[in-house]
Amino acid sequence: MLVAEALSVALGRRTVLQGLDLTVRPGSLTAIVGPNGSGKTTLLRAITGDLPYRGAARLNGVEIAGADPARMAAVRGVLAQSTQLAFPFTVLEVVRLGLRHGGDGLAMAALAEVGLTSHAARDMQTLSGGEQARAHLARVLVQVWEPVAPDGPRWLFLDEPVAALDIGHQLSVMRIARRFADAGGGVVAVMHDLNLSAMFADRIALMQDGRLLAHDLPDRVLTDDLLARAYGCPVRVNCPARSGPWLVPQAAAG
Amino acid sequence: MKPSVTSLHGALCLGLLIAAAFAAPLRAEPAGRVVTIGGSVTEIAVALGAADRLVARDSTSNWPESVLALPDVGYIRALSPEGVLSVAPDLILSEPGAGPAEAVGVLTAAGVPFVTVPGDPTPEGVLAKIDGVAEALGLPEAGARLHAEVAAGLETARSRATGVTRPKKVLFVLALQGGRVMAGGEGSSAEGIIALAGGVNAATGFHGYKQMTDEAVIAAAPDVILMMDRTGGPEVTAADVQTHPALAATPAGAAGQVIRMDGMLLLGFGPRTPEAAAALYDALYPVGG
Amino acid sequence: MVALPHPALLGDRSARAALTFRALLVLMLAVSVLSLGTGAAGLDLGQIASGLWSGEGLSQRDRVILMDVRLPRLAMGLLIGAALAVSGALMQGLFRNPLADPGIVGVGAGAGLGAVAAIVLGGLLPAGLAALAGQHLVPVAAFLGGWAATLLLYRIATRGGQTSVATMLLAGIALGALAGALTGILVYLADDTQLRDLTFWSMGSVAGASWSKIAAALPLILPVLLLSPLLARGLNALALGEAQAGHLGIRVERVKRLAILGVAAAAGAAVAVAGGIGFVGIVVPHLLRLATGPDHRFLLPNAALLGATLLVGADMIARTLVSPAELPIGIVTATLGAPVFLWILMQRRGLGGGL
Repeated sequence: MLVAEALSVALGRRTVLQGLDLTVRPGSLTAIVGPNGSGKTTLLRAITGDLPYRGAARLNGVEIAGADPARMAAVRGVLAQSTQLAFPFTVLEVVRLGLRHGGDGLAMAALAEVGLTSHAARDMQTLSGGEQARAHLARVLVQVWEPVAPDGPRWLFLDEPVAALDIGHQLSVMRIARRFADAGGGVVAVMHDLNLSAMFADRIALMQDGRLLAHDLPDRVLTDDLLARAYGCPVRVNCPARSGPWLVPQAAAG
Repeated sequence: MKPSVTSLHGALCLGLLIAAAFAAPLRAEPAGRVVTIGGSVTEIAVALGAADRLVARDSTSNWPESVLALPDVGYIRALSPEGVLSVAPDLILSEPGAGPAEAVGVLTAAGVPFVTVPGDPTPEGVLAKIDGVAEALGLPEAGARLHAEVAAGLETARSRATGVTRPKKVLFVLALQGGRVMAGGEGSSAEGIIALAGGVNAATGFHGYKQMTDEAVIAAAPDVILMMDRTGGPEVTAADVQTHPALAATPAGAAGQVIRMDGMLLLGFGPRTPEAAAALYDALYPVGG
Repeated sequence: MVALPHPALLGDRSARAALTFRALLVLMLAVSVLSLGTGAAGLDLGQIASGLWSGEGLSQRDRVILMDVRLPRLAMGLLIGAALAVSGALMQGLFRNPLADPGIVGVGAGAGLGAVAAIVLGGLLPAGLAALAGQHLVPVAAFLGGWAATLLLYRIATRGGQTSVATMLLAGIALGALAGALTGILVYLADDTQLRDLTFWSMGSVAGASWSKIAAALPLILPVLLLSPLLARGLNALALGEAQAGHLGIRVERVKRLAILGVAAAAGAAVAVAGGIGFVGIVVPHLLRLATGPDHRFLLPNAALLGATLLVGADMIARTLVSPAELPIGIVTATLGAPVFLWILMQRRGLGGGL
């Protein structure tokens, strides 16, 4: 279980998160959405232990601030929005960085999940942005391979996991996250894309100005009023057809 | 644990070897393979007639020209111990200041006698140096002859020097690196030769060769600027002196009074010291001028 | 389970790296033996071998050359080469920059200042203290200077238990400038003899190798060489950035602290006993990364071996090229290292991509 109580984060003199209360159950996929500057990434950084906070935040019963990094790494994997790799590792070597147990077999399985098996020997820096993102996802997956372990559920914290990906890969990555959640693991993903969130998330947390506007089922959160309030612009859910073609990705089952 | 017989044997042999090696200088027969370190020491050795016994010299030894053909073991303060040992010396004769200390230690441990002769930049120092080299080389008669010859020359120089009524102020400029004047102060070999030539050192207030501030140079007000002739190096020309603001402002600079002499001749304080003193005297006090 | 194709296809370079380790080990031993048989004195391996085998031993001169000149130089060259190369690799991993060198934490600037101070001001010490220190004054002062500089940089860059490597880099530049200014003042005060001495010091030399210096440097260098591979996993993770390394379970601040400590000790000792020797710290890790990849588990041990080998090789050149004189070893490493470094830089431009 991920529990945040009266969570506040200050960056410099600004209070970015204002007394947030949030509970996320394992076995579900929660999308955190909201306009730029609403505090989505700050919230994620707080629960990954990168930012000091006031209030409480606990993962699997352990307070996140001050927790032993190795202990946290055993229960949760973090996929950052972008990663600058300082040295020319190969794709396999990057995935191996996430290994805590298991060997190359596990690494290759993760690469298979993200569709990069043929790229294992490539220099990471020669891959496209989207391919690099998927490689890092593979690295995060090997870190918490089992969604549920004897000592508790495992978690994936994803920061805009599909930002750099094409449509096909966006869907496959969301499906990976979905499978993880269905198997009992917890997934918390900061998302820009409301449609994808609607398609794959069990719960959506809508943020604005460091506060949680809503945390509920997608149907209840993605309403005209709430979105208009949050994004400060008129929004119609289930928009009428426009003059040109409007592409709607098909959420295939499983 | 009892030491084995073999190791006792080995220790005994080693002990005898060491004793034998250290006993070498006590033998009557003089050393046949000599390394001289320091230009003046080399000069003296050659002047004593031991040139055929020299097997190597250091980088500061450049007189007479014949020694340039000998292998060069490096700068006196940065000797390579194995390099010196490679010429299989029986004796190493050095001016004071040979280094690094570890190299000297290794040479001594190798059983090669390492003799350091006195090196004061004074007339007495020159004679003591000659005596030291002669003794180490086992050439008492040649040493006495050279001693007498040089002593006479030094005496001539000394009497000429005392005969000067108005000694000129001389500033010895070692280098003009980046516009900074490096001069010879109190106790330096430059001061020694200037005194011997009847001049007076314009650079006072510091010891050895150091940089003088421009103001100190002007305050010193030398009548003459003395410099070394560097063969095969960047030459400080008279034009450099004229364009240097502090030097040009001195009486010497204004009158263009710049004397250049060969470095080893001037500062070596070896057997050519009387010759150097005479040459400098003649340059400082030209007849009829 | 997925069937695994050949490791080379998978992008796993560990086999190649392990092979490189064995090859470098053999190379290091070969160069070491060769260096014992090389030198101005003409004592070669054949003579040494026959001397030892025949039971007669060597002549005293040869014994001194072998035991007091060549063997200490070999030991010191191995130690220093390994220390500089590993320090370079540690700093490159820590600063996530392949252009970092051991001096980046202030060791070089501080050691240089300490050495120059000892050379120029050593005469001011009370006679008893100077006699006690003797020829150890300069190395000790250099080591203390290196440590002081690194400690100062570490304190400046660390707030609330967190060390900012960016701050360390910038503060290092400032400290280097300050040390340079102070050194300049000392140079101004120096007399001709001292100037020559400090010039030679700055060019580096293994010529002053002695068993006492090795005994002093060994406890500082060897533990770093042996224990640095323990930081390998952390340094690998750091390549992703500090935050992500933390997510992977690495105690990042601890890794930083230990890496900086290790470099202060190993590089500090190396510079203290041998003066300024450059390029080994940058070029060796670089070459190894190009050959077998940036995985620190192999990079650190291989760097130690290659650094040791290169330095012993450079020393062989330094003491035979202008025999019977000898070149300062810093000149040899610079002459060989600079072109290699330029070549590496030009290679990287071809690869494109950022640092």
